[in-house]
Amino acid sequence: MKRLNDLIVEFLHIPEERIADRLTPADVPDWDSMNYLLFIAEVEKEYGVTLTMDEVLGTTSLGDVRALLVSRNIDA
Amino acid sequence: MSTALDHALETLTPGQSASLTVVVSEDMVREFARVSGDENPLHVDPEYAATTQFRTPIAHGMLTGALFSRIIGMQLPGKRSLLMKETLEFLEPVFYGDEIEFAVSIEHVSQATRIATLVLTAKRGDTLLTRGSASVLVRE
Repeated sequence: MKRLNDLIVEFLHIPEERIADRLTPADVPDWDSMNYLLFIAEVEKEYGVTLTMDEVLGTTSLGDVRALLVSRNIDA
Repeated sequence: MSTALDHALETLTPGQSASLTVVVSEDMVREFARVSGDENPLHVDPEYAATTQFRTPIAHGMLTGALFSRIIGMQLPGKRSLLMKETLEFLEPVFYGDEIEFAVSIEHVSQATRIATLVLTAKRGDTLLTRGSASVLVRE
């Protein structure tokens, strides 16, 4: 299973050393709506979790995504 | 004009699949060369191709990519498809006249993002020629 950071590097093109929970779309040039949808779809597939649209829309930072997975007992 | 099938996101399930068999003709390769502008002699010049490891012209890898686009856009998911990402590995060459079976299979459906993830394969008989994946936004 890939780590969440691996998916962040692959889909949002953030260098591993720059990944931080506080990062938002404003901080990341490649974090546009299409890339984010692809990222979330891959997160669901990789961890076998189903997210709702409200949950996805409610995530505004990488920390929110990580917290969402932790709330599903996923070690992200 | 062919009619595209229409699969709504809610009807898509993992394991659902579609396939298409195409004979890749010299005309198709030449037309792809014209449209793409990739007139590399490996694809369109038999004399040049005879000097290479392949001995005969081979189709462009992206011609197989285009045929995956056809099956996604016309069959599964069909008319609601918006192809967002495609990755392909070209494992073996495709020659003029090869009969290729293209197949797509749904691996995952994300209702939240409306993205279906598909596994792609192209085979000549039992030989796997191309494999890959595609992420498709299924429009409402």
